[in-house]
Amino acid sequence: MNKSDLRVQFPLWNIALWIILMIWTYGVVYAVDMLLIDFKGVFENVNGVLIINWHVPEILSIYIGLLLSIIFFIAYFIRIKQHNKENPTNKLVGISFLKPSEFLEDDEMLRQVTEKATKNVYVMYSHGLPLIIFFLIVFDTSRYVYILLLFLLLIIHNALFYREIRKFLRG
Amino acid sequence: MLRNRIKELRARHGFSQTELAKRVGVTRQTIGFIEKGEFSPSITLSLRLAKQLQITVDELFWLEGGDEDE
Repeated sequence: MNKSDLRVQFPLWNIALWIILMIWTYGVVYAVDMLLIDFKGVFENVNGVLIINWHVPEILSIYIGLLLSIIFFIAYFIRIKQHNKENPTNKLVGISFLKPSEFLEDDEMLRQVTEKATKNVYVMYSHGLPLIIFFLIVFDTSRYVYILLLFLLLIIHNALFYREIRKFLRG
Repeated sequence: MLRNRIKELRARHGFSQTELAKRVGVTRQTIGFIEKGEFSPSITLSLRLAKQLQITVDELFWLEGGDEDE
């Protein structure tokens, strides 16, 4: 096992996906808001001339996010295929809902490292979630900011997990 | 702290960390951590290591820091 092993890199792939979804969600939240208010403010009639107020950053984020998602999933499934070809005894599935693919349990020390990494993530959530609840209570802000904070938690979660595994690999 | 003679005996038998790891069914890094005393192996792994290094477990591992006198 080394740092280029896909199972070790899994948290980095997760981080990349969350960042892409952060970009995409920015536009999606805007689009949903527009649907809910019947596109109020988008179309304006000024002296008989129809003016469309394009929200370029939001529209761009939908397209850029979508494009990046497609590129991400193509690269991800190619990498999984490559990993399974190189490691026929340690095959990975693309999407797993039961056991995260980043859990490393090849031997007793790796099990201990995974347990320690999971413990760090638990501690982070036990502090991070109340902070977000406090933030939601105190600040009246855009829906997107709340979503952004949750994405940030997921990014920190994966970064903590990766850091613990890398410490082990450095030996 | 759990001390051991793995590094010394591994060299005597001409095993690399990778080779010893393969023989006992763990990763190379695990052997490295055990050698440095940063990981205490289970009884099963200790027995496997002792077998590969042709020594008994109590000769391979010992406690440092006075616990051995108790």
